[in-house]
Amino acid sequence: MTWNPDNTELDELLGAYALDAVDAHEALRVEAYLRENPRARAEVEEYRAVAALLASSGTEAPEGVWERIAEALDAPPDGVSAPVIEFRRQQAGLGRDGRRPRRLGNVLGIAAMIVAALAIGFAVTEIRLDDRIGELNASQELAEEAIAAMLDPQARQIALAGPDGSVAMRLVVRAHGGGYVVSDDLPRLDAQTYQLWRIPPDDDDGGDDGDGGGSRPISLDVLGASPGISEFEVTDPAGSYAVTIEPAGGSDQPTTEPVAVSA
Amino acid sequence: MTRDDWQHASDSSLVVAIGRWHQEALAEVYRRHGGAVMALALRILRDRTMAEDIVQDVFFRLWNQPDRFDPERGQLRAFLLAQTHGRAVDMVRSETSRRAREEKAARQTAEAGYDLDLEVWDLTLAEQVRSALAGLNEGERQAIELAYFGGHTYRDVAAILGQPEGTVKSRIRLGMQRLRVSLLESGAVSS
Repeated sequence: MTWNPDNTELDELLGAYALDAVDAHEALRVEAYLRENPRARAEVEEYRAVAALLASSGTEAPEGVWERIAEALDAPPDGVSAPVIEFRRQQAGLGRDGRRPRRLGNVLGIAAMIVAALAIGFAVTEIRLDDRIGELNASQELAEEAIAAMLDPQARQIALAGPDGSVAMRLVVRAHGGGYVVSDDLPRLDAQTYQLWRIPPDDDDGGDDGDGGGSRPISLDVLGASPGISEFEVTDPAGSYAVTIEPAGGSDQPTTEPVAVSA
Repeated sequence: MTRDDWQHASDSSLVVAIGRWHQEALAEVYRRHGGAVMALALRILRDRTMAEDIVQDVFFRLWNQPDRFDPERGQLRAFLLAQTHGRAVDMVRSETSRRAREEKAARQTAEAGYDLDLEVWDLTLAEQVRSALAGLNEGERQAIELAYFGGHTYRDVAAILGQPEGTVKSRIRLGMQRLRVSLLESGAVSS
């Protein structure tokens, strides 16, 4: 259906539709109309906001019902992994500080993922949320630091790919030490943890970020069961990087084959 | 996050956390909006048991499908109330519950003094809403109240009021526009 400014019949139904006061077949027609017509869609949303006020109350949530709800929520549904939540942000929205957000241009899509996860006003993106999203929301500073590192031309960007070649994790290592992990698409673990390792080059003495010695992997971070954004210490970034799955709490040395490695 | 953190989180942040199965986030959403959801369901259904079923269903759906809430399209409370209204209306329009509801309504009318408006509305907001409703003409107000709180289609409303369907349809739309303007002026809604 294309938008027709003279489509007065459907326009006349918008008020009733917003109040769920149309028949089922009319609702289908209106919904098709709304898909094509942003003005009509906005009009319905305005009416629903008004209707919400008609219904608003200052009463407290009823006791007893929450217990019934919580009882049914004990665990995520079987077989359901982390849901993907699509957060569409206004392209011209303002940042948390009231300023228009900076444009990142073609900076890694991962930066947009971080920004969207923290809801600071960037454009449309799709984010896969990790188990630590609550903490991430409270850690905007960390995310902003990670973004700043990504924008630093002197920082080293490292992609860690899984066996199928898809990028599972990204690292950004600052020229003067310190780095950030941004996980992209690692499945959630049960009673285990992901662990990040640096494998020094053969002629490396291990630097001062680990226990040194040849090419023994050096643990950089125990990332948890569903990694998000975290910071790690590394003063000598040389070598390759890998992620393994380890028992909860992490291991001194890798006990499994890597699930993702740097090129 | 501590309970204090949840209490200070925005609605959008809570929905994000719900997406990661944080029950505390859902509990906080329930604490904030459960009363309004219950009040609307109760007002439409006039049956506490059925209303509680709706409340449970609405929050359970938010738990399982948080992505259905799009913060760009409005506030979380409006979203939850729209869900509540739709489900309550579905229930009202089923024949069985219609009968039960009408019997209950008759009893409540007979008992008199049952003023849910005073019982459940926040007084300040209620005053603004009452003022906005008072600005409507009688036909618009009746049509909106019968449609929204009565759970009737506009065709039903037309039959109840003995008016043409087109008239009722227009009155609902015009009335909602006028309500919005009035509530904008009073600051109850933002543009």
